[in-house]
Amino acid sequence: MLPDTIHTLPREERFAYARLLAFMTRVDNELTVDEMAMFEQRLGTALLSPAQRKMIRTALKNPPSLEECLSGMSEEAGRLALRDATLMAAADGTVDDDEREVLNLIVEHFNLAPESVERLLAWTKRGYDWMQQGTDILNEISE
Amino acid sequence: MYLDLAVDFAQEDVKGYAEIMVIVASADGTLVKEELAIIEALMGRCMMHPEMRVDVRNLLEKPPALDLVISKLNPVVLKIALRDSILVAAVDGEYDVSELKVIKTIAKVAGVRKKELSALFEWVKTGWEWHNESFQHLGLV
Repeated sequence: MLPDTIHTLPREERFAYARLLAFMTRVDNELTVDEMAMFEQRLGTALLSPAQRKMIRTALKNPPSLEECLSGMSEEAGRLALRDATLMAAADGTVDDDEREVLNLIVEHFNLAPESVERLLAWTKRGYDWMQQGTDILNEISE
Repeated sequence: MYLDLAVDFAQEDVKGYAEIMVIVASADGTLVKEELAIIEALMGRCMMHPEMRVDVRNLLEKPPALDLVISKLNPVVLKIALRDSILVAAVDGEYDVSELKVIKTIAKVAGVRKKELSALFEWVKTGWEWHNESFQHLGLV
C-alpha cells in the first residue's frame, strides 16, 4: 500500500496488470484470505473502473490463460505485475512449484534476468517482515 | 506471510477506518491520485463490500467530522487507523501540517505516546525505502 506507479499506466495496461494477478490467484487452486486481501489491495491501487473491477472478479472464477494475460502487455505493466504476483504468491506463507513456474514464465516472457524471481522473493520477505514490525509496534502500544 | 490485522475488521469498523483515511487524505484541501490509489488499496485490503466503497468515495468531497468518526471506533481499529493514516499522509511525498494535526489528534485519542508515534513514522519511512527497492529490482528506475 505504498506509493506506486501502477495508477499512472494507461487504463488498458492497468486492466492487463489486474488480469494477470487474477490468473495468479488461481495457480495453486487455492485462494486463501491472505491472497485475496493482497489481490484486492493491488486491485485498489490500479484504480480500475467499476466495470473493469467486475470483469476482473469474473476472471477470478474463470481465469484467462497466462498467454492471454501476457499478450500485448507493456514492459512496465508486466514488470509491476511480476512483482505483485510474487507478493501474492508468497501471501499464504509458501510459494509452491506451480506458482514459481508461472513467475519464471513471466520473467522469460519479458526477457528479465533469470535471478529476478529469487530477488523479488527476498524483497517480498523483507516487506512481510516490515509489515510484521508495524504490527509489533501496535502491539507494544496496546501493552 | 502476509497478515495484517485489518483483514479481521468487523464490517461496522471498516467504514469508520476508511472514513479516517478520507479525512487524512483531504486534510490539506487537495486530493491527488496517489491518495485515491492508497485509499482504494486500503479498502481493498479490508475486503470492504463494493457498495460500502462507493459510500466512502462519496465522502471524498465532503469528509465527515474526525471526532464523530473516532468516537465510533474500537481502540484496536483506532490504532491501526493511526498507523495507516501516516501511510496515507506520506503518499504524496510530504507531510502537510493539516495532515499532521489529524494524525496527532488520532494518536491522542488512541493513547499513543510521542515516542510510539515516532516509531510509526519511522516504520513508514522504512517501508517506503523497501518499496522503492522494487523499482531497482525491476529495472524501472
